[in-house]
Amino acid sequence: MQVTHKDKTELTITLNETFDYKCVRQFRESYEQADKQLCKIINISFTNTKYMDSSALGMLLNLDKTANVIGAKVILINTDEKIQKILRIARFEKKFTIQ
Amino acid sequence: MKLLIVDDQSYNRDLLRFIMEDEGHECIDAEDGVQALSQLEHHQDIDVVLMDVNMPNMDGIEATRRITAKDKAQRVAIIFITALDDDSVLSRCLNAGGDDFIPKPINESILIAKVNANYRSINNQKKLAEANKKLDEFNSQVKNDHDIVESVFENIKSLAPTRIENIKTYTSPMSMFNGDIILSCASPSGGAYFLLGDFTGHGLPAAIGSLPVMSIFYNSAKRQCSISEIAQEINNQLHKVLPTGLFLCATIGYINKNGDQVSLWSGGMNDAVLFNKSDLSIKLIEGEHMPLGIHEKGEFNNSIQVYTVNKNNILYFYSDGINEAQNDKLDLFGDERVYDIIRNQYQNSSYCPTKKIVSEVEVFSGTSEQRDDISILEVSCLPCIHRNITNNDVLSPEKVTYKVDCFPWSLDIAICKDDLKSIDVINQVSEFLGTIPQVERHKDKLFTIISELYNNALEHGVLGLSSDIKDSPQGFEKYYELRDQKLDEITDEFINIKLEYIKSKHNFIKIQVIDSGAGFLTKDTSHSSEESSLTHGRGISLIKELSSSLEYINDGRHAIACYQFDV
Repeated sequence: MQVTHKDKTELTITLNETFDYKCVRQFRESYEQADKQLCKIINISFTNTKYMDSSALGMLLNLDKTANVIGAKVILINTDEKIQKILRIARFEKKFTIQ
Repeated sequence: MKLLIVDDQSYNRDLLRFIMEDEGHECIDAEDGVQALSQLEHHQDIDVVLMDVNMPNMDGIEATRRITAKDKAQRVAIIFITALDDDSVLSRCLNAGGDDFIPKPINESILIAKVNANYRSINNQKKLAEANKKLDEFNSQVKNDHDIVESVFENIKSLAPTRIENIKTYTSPMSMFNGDIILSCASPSGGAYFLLGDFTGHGLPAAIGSLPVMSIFYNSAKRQCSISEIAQEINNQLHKVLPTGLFLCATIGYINKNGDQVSLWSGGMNDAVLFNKSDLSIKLIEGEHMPLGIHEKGEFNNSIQVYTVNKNNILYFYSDGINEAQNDKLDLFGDERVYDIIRNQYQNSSYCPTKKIVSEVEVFSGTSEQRDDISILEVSCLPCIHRNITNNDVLSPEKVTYKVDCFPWSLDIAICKDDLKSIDVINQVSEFLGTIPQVERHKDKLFTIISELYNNALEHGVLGLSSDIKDSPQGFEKYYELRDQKLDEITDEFINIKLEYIKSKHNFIKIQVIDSGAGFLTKDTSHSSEESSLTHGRGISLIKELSSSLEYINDGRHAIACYQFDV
């Protein structure tokens, strides 16, 4: 998992090939790096991600709660067709911006 | 030096022989033209012939004509020895192929000087002829080699099962020896992969570099790898095999089956052009990365750009042979001319900017020596249409790629005690399924289904954890900490996984997961609360959506799911 900052307003987390329960702590620690005052956008990049399960969906919802508290928007980026299908099944397009 | 002295007068022959032998040269004799020819036949190493004009049987002029006509490879200098009183004889001597003449009566020092000068000249000619011969041989060898390499490339390209109607390419002939590489291939899912690349360097090294690129590209396309994976794999291979300084600038892309999403990895290439037909606008897509083959495995950045596109969009990729083409005044063709052609051409009825760009570049470069090879790739953002390469029929790439038939099989996995703690069961099982023909392309969905079933069996069944713990973000993590703790404490528990491939009208993978736990109630909250912000309870609905049936029996200890797929 890779974290990159664009000044303090935008944070991008690039996920690993598999996004499942093994990433719980690492994922939380990644988005907790977001600046609580200034961060406006948190991008989650699925560029490398091929596999995910329902615990990943849970992690994204936890992220969403944290983001709401600090007033940042969560954008799921670089999702391929397979990942989009799982996000759609979970109706995540209603909660997240998916690109 | 070896001389042939041709004269019917023995006195003349002896005189010449004395002078020449005094100079340290080897001499042989002939009494007329006929003898001269036969001596030359026997002595291939003769350098200079001293030729009398008037002789019986065959005179010097006829002999000279025959010597020069007969064998161009045997080069001898022919010097006539004659009185200078008849211009017409002199010109006949030279026209017949004579190189020089020495006037009678013979002046010794002029004779020696002329023989030496002609010897030097004939020697140079011999060396030149030798060099030319080698060059000819080398050229024909190179042409042979190129033909072979070209046919190897054609063979590799024919590995692509189909031609994709949306993708048009242009590349100048033999351009692979200038390092240009242009590829496209159907994905079994119905989308299409494409690649435009340009190796640094020219000739064979660049051509050799394209071999691993091609084989990785086609194999990855067949396995439906992501663009990131393909870029990573090509980079790693090239980094391993290429010498420093040789690398590949490339754009690798994928357009999905519906033609509404394009993913790109681009390193070291020109900006790609995203053209919109409806408003003639052009959006440039900059490459984000260093070329392939430079970075070590760990340093490589495989992040891609994903674009949502529509039927009005056409993408153009081109090699720097176009924008860097020069005219006689050393002006560059530049990018703006390319953009103008794309825009202007669209208003034309015969819309074909690729051809137009090629012809404009040709006109622009004119006779300039600076001509480089050019390659263009055009991707129309429409639903992908795949055609049979030979008869042009429309095909489904899934059927073409996966025509391998598979026999029915079943697989039993029993995981108990320590294996439950230490082994990454789901990844191993899904890796294994990925090696089975026909099942491979369903690997990602099967991963999700098996992962859900297995984790339910382990967490709720074997470990007796309740999802309610996950209600708060802290609880979410607490849950997984508890999972690890409880895993450490287990003794005689087990989980069995049974996978079966059932062939019938429809093909199924039947997945059964049986655990030794006390049983658990399966909750399915997602339907009642679509907008739910609960971080759990989505697993079951995920399985239900991805598979054709799901059933829990024996109080939740035994799950049976079927995944249906067409072949």
